Amino acid sequence: MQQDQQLRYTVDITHADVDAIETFLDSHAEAQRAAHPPETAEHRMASTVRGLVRQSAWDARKALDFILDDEHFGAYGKQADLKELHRLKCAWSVLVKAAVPWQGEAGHDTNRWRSTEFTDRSEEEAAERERVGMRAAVKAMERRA
Amino acid sequence: MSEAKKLRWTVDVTLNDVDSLVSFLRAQMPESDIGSSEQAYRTHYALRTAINVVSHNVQYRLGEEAIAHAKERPDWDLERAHTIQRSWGDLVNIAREWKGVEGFDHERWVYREVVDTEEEAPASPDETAEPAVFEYRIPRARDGAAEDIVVARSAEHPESWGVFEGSTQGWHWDGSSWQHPSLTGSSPYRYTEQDALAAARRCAAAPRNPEGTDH
Repeated sequence: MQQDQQLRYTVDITHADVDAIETFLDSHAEAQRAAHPPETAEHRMASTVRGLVRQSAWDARKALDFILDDEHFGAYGKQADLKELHRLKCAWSVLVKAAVPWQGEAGHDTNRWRSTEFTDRSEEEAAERERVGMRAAVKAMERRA
Repeated sequence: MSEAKKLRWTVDVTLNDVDSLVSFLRAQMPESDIGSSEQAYRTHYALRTAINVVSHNVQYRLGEEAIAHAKERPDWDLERAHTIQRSWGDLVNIAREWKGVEGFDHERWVYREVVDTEEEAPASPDETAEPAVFEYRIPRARDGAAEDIVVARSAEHPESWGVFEGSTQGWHWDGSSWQHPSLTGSSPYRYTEQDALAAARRCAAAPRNPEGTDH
């Protein structure tokens, strides 16, 4: 997927996405940390945001390293692949939500910094099939009633 | 498991744990105290929003609907376990900044890398480990299957850094060899950030021995 296209699935998240959102959030948190003395509420919150951002970015990168490496992805079974995809999805959603207060500000990428509901297209299609199946089952029950 | 007991595995996390941790965090950042500037306001808002998404992630998956779904589909069960583990870990990390504050539950508000007894490996997380914030993870240069080198700072002493193999805070680098706290009893947090990073890079670049046990 092109970097300028709207993000839709977890598998489309790139290292460049993670780098960009981490740099953006880190710079805001650092600016606030520097502006307030330690032990103040502002400093403490900025430290927490910075820690959360770094931890989530690190998780996302670690997952991406695994997912994008042909030697790893697919080599340890579906369970291992899913674990890393879930890790990426979780970490990315935290980064995206943490950036919400800066929506509309210069540097905030509304096109890419979006939570991903589905890991990939096949997961979305499976969920859609399930929805259609449930709707049909409910209608059949209504007809019988 | 009684909640009075120390939290040992991810499966021990309960809705009560999440609710009490989230209530504690919200009490530390009242909306009336949103800061003295627009930047402070946004940071406050960012933290509250992140706490909401993280707590919702785990609360939903501890609920009856998610449990019922998980019983039907193994892949959802897996997703549920992974998300509870990660999101609980995020909440615990957020709370560390308020560790000394009254009401902090040292027994329950801990992160566990291991989901349950079945997943528990021989090298279980060290029960006595100091609270730490994992800041860097450096993959081994020569053995993709080996544990990464992790650089963490002490949550209590942010200027003190340690170098670990994996994120269990078990084996740590003392400058010349790998040590375990149960053997030495000494704190692994002995470096500055720069020195810890330099040591970690050297460890990551060094070859492991053929048996995979370079401790």
